[in-house]
Amino acid sequence: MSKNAGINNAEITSGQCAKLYILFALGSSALILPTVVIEIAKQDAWLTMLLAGPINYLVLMIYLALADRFPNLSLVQYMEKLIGKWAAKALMLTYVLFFLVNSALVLRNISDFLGLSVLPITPTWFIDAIFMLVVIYGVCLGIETMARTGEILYFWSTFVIFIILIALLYQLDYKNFEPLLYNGILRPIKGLYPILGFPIGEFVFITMIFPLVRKTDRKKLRKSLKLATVMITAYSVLLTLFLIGVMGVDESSRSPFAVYDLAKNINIEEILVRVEILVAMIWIGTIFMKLVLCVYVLSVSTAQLLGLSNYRPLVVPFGFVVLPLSLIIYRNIAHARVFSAGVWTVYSVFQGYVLPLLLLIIAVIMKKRDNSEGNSFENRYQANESIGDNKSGDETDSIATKEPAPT
Amino acid sequence: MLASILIVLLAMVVGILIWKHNGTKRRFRERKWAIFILLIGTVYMVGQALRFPLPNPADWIMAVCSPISNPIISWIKEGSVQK
Repeated sequence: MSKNAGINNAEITSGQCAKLYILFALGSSALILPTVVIEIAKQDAWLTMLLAGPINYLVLMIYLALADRFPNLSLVQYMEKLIGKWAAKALMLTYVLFFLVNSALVLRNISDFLGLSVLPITPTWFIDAIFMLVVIYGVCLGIETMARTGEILYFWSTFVIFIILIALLYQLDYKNFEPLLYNGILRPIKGLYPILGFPIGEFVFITMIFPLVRKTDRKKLRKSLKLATVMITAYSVLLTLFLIGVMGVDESSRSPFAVYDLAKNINIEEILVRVEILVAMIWIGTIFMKLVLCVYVLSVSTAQLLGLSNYRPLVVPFGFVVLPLSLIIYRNIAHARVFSAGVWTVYSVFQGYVLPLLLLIIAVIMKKRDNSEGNSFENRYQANESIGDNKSGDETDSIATKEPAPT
Repeated sequence: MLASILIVLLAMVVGILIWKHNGTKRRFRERKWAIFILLIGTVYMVGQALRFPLPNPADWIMAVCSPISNPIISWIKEGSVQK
């Protein structure tokens, strides 16, 4: 780490950024997405996952092209430079709503999963509240703490997925993949629809993280994220292959949490059985990272929209909004399916691809670039805190504004 | 009813903490917006506890996006029965 990393708590490495990207993808999509895709693409769902890789890569290229032009600014900040103050504020509001709804959806996924599988008698609001408490604490600690947590979780997630796949290898039934491309390539293409919004469209969060990557490490960022995209595709293809191969199309498309049910099939000589709790633990870890990132980006984008110097005062209030929202966002399972597999994709594609692409086109046409320093909340907050030991309140803030902590 | 009273009490405690923690003039803006968002959240929570019909952002998104998503969903469902 650089010498100031511990002081300003605002630098992450390109590797940490890539791991956050992978964990975000694994978050809810690894457990829920294969079900939806298998329902559409049937035994060819693994091909759909393979096709999603290049799309993910292209979307990432849009974000990286924007990051090249505005390396120290977040999406919300360079939007103002590209389309003017008021138009930018209006668009920022749509992003705030997007991250707010996304946070509520992720929290709802957690309570649905825990309520159905691990804690069936515990009230949903209680699960949500306890989870939200930890999330608020994590977001208040800052991006560097999140990134380090991500590093630990990434290792364990990879390890557990690897162990589960190895343990299920002998149960693969290749007949479940037949007939291959029975209805042509159209069915796997149709299966792409839910993936476009969930999780590819949601990857727009990464544009808020780019300016926090350590400057000396930014050359590696492109390479790390490309590798992350390949790994996300590999995980998705492998999980879908095993789901179809072990459970078959019918069972996989009926199960609400297919990967969790997949782990129930592990039985090695009656010794290694009931290891699905490992999946639950890993999934809770990855979805925790996804929720933490969503709430972090929500707080940061709102603070940038309102022109605040620090995002932290908004974190707890947003917890108060996200919690009841997660309880009412789906009325029932039918509403959940229509919303998450149909409507959400359109909204997510608009926020995740269309708007960033338009911004990139505008930036290219107007030949806009900006290498100026962004208004990093973390730097300013830490500067306030470090100077605040000796100075009184107002004085502290004015000094901090003049001399932001070095990055 | 008890739940809503407890929620209001909790929100008041959080509000006081935010108010005190952002007591400087320069942080007045942060304090103002944090309290505003907290107020919205508290109203939502109390409304949820009292089972009032609350505005759901999912409905707004559905109203805007369903004219585009419905034809796509119908196209996807065409011939989706396993043969």
